[in-house]
Amino acid sequence: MSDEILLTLPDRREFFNVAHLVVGGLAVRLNLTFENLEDVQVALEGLLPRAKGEITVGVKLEEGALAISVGPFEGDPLRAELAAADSEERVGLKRILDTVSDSVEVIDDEDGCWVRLTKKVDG
Amino acid sequence: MADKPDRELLRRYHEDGDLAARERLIENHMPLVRSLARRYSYRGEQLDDLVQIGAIGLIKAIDRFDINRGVELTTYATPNIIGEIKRHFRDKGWSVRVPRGLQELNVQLSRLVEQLTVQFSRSPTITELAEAAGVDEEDVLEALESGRAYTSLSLSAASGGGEDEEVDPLESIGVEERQYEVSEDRAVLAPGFRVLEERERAILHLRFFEGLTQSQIAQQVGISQMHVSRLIRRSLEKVRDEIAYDQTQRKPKRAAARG
Repeated sequence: MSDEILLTLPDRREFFNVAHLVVGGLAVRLNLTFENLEDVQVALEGLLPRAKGEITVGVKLEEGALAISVGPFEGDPLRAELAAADSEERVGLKRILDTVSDSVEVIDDEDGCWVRLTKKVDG
Repeated sequence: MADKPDRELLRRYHEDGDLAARERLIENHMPLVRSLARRYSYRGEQLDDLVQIGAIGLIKAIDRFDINRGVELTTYATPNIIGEIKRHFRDKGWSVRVPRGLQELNVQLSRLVEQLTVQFSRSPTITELAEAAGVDEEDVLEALESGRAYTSLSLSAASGGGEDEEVDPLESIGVEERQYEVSEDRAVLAPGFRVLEERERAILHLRFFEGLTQSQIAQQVGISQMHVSRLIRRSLEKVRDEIAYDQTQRKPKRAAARG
């Protein structure tokens, strides 16, 4: 059985904080530190505004890590953004996600692509 | 470098009095106005109303623009548009409507994060913060979220003078004129970074290039971790909006197709 929380939000900024609260609620159950929760929230803030329509956030605990899926996104622009090299003068999505999470993966689906992040839960 | 089509249109308007060129400039930069207005629309104002108000800021920027200066219109217009929107809220007596209890808890949490990080030699959990503050975990989350709302609202507000100043999480409105003054210096910076202040750039560098944690940055810069957190979020949002806007400018057809 998978303990996954799925939350689908309209593509409107005023709803994004619901995702932050839900992830925060789960972070409490997982005993995440303030700093780790901050990282997860920064990742969400980086991803949610890139949605081009309704967006779903899935959160579950998986082998000692918080696994977060966000999508669907338009595949090409997102992949291009994640592939773009960041200079010393630019903080792009890839650098943000690489810094705040332990793994970043882009998964294709029929309705677009999804970003899957993991964040290890501190002992 | 100023954008060439903008520059030509500005020249036609300012030197030849070509009002069609002015109209075109307004039209071309409405995506920027919409993007900025969207930040504030969840405060109970209709997005369309805020777009109209922001458009006044854009028009003022176009009318006041000095074509002899090597600055982009977008760089010049952004603080004007935000300023106009903020002025609207200010005139309405608007303030950040976060319950006082949450305001106080947010400030208290900022102190507790520092204290507990030192005490435990690691970042505290939400449960530990809740216990130390004598409140429920949900209250902690809500107070942290209220700080996040503040971040969006205060976006683009020029930070105060002192390097060690602690921004009140519910401080309301920034000083757009100040940002306007320094905005021209930023035109030489890379896209996405030109909207940032020096300290914001330094903090982003420490976090995303040097790999320092928020608490390490807080120690190094001499401000609280919550303040570092707010600055990081604010900076990233500024960068994102700037890049998104650049992209809509480069791909006008695509942006227009999306409406």
